[in-house]
Amino acid sequence: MIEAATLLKPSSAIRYRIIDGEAIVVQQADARVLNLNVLGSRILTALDGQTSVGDLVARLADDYEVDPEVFAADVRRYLGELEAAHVIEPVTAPADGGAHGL
Amino acid sequence: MNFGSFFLNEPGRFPGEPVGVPWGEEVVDLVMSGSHFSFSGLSAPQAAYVRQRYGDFLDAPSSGDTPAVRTQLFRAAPEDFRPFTQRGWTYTLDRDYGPNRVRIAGLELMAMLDWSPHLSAALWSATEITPGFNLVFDNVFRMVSAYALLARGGVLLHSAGVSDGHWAWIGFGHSGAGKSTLSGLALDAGQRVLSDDLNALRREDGLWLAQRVPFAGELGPTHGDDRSYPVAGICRLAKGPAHQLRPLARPEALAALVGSAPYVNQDPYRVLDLMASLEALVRALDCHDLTFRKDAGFWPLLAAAALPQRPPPSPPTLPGGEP
Repeated sequence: MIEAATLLKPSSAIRYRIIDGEAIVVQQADARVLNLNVLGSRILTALDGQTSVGDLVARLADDYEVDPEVFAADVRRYLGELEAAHVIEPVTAPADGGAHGL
Repeated sequence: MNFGSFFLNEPGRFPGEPVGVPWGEEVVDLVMSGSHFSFSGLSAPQAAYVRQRYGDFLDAPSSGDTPAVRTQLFRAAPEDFRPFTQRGWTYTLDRDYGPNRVRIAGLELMAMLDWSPHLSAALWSATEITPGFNLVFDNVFRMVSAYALLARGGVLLHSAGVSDGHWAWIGFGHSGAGKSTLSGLALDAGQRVLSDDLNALRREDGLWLAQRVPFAGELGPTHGDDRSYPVAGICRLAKGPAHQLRPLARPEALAALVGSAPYVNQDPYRVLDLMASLEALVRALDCHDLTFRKDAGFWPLLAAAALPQRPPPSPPTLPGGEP
């Protein structure tokens, strides 16, 4: 499980574009395309490499009427899936821009 | 694996600039979907092949109102390339994407696309005549075409393009989804096929147009119809037990279309331009999932879906007479 203090950013190996609130993510290595739903797209675009996972969860939770602990667990699990799919990556050096998106 | 090492004996000797010894002094000009292409440095046999293969697309020099994408052909030494038999593997061009250049290596070819300042290309080939040269030329021309279309806000799509003489429909999907099958059924029903493999879509005066291109799949190239058809709809294809047409949401359509735009969709420097073009496409046109069985019963579905959104415009007044 991703820790609350972790800083994440979109992977430098992806490009994405938002349409109708949904992110279309292209993985450059093999042109594989992922389609993130509205919440997933909000999460992706909020990962600026400077906002911790904990802060991100707190910010998003205000917009959803769900149990905060359940919501936090769901978001952190989802972030783990995005990281496993190489859509996002942890910030290991001074923050850079990560992927390019519109 | 480093760029070029699969095809080239010494990848480090890949030309750094678009210079070399031309095969000859022949020049062939082509026009495709509103984009002009000029190939120079060909030998007489090479030029004869290009003129025969692309005869329907020959262009007069500088006849277009847009500058031609220029490609220079140069000689390469046979020993630059590793020998291959083409058994047991799928041929894919090796590409190295950069901010201003794309380098390409393949069977008996090295090529470079350059954007300083406008798109141009160089092709080094070790083979002068067919059958080797046709593969070299066709592969590079397809790739140059994809980028030339993108530069004008268009897109080259792995797709079937079919037309009733007034409208065109574009059916796309993964390999085996039914592009050639759909095209064959369209032909059987007396309709037209633009291509069963690659189709060029471009925007002109706010309208998305499809036009026949020289790139075809199993059905082979079609001939004789040079008109541009307004695109009535975009369909993601699937074979099934019954004909069915369902709306396809724009994000899902965009995601699927990106996967069907060869060459450019793996270019990290230009894929955002591609996605912008495709977003314009899916915003302008209705997108559908088309499931079809092996008869032409899908035509009424397509026609009915086209009518409510936008009445057919007057048939385009392009050379070729009545549609």
